[in-house]
Amino acid sequence: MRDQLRVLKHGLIASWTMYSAYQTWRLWTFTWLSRLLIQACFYALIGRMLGSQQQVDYLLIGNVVAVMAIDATVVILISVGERQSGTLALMVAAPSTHLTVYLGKGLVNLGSGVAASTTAFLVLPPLFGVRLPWPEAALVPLMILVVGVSCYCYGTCVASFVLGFPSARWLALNVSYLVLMTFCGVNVPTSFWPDWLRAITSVLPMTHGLAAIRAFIAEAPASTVLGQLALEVCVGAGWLAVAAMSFTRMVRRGRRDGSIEFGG
Amino acid sequence: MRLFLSGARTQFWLVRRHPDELLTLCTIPFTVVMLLSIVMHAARPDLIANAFLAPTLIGLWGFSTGLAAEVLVGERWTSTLELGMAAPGSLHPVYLGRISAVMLLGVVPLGETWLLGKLLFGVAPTVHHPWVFWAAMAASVFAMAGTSLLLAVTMLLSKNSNNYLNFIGFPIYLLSGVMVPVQYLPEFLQPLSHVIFLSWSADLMRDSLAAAPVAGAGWRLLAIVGLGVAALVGGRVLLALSLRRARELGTVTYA
Repeated sequence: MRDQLRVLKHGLIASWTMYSAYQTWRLWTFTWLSRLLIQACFYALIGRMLGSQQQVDYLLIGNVVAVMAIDATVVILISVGERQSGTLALMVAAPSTHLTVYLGKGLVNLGSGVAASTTAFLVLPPLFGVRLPWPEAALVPLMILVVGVSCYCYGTCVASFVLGFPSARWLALNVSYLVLMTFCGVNVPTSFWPDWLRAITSVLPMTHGLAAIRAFIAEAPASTVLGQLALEVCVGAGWLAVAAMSFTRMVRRGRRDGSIEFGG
Repeated sequence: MRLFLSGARTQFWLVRRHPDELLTLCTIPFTVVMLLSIVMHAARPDLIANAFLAPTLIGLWGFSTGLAAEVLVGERWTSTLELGMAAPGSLHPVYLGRISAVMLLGVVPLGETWLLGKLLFGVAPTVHHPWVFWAAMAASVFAMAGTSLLLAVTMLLSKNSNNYLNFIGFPIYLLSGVMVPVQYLPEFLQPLSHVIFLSWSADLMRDSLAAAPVAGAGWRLLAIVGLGVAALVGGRVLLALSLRRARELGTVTYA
């Protein structure tokens, strides 16, 4: 376990070095963060056009949390990049498992997403007249983190399947987070969708976590909030387990047919 | 004209070879479902026109920033910019041809939106003033081509071009009122929307879907075309200046 944590630490350092090579805090703030804030405002303004503060509340909170999913699923691009850089063969030959590196590859981006979402949660509600139950609302960023981790697990799972089709990585990234933003209760309640689609959303990340955040803000009983959060954790764990199996299967198949390429 | 058509042909050929560049066509359905679901859930059939026009114009903009604006940056990445500059023919019509080809594809989200609205939600707005609607669409495609040229040159000047391209989308959607009319914006932001052609397009197209007569259609069309011409001229001048500067400094690769 300690060895795996050491591998994860070095993986994180490498990821941070790569991330900070093209992203300064100024660039992040003025291009990425502000883009996400404006995206959330775009949807909140629709609520204003609908003429209902309830709609503004719903759309703003949903989108404040949902913008984090973009960063959380960037792991799809990063994993494909890692595979293309030709390091998989070295990792397979090393005594440690490749899983730690692949599953931890996008944690820096997840941090970026959670930071952006938290900033949006702190900055935007007062601008749109959304009332929050302070000081209890200070716990919401922790819930955003839970949703973020769950979305990240889902992203790693998609990444494990996309590794075989690197040219589809951008499509996979966009479709992955858009599915969450469209169907998981961000803009309309999941009850709006047909039963079969609602059943699918119940095993997607964001659905339960966002429901927990909404329930918490509405000062629902703690059991409701914790129950939804627990479901979100279970969904995330499920996606992570599938991702781990898929990555292991990929290496096994690569060993068998010699397709673990070395070239970059 | 020959160079322009040659550029357009090249772009169509490139898109056929790299269908993944048509990513916008895959993301638009989600935007359609998101926006239509919001207005349907709120039981506001009067806003269906907004929910139809927004993905159409967002798709047009998406093609511009996702593909057209990257034409010059792509040339730099593939090291063909300097080869183009060394060629005897003028480069501008070639690039404009490529960008115009992309913008023609930008009309596809319109059909996609209408089709998805009908198939998934069983709704489609009635176009009460089809001539105004199509004239506004054509003017918007023209203006988008001009704006794309300006964006493409601007992207060439910055090493963080992708970050800026990624950033610019939602501010434009917000300021141009593609979904939410500009009057819902804070007052100090509203004047900005007048210099964005998409705000004129969105307003005029929304009015063309309504039963009431469209007021001042000619002037409004002229505003879209005028802003498109301004962007086109600005892009043309900036491109010439950038390429000349790059030649003089010997920095074509990092122009």
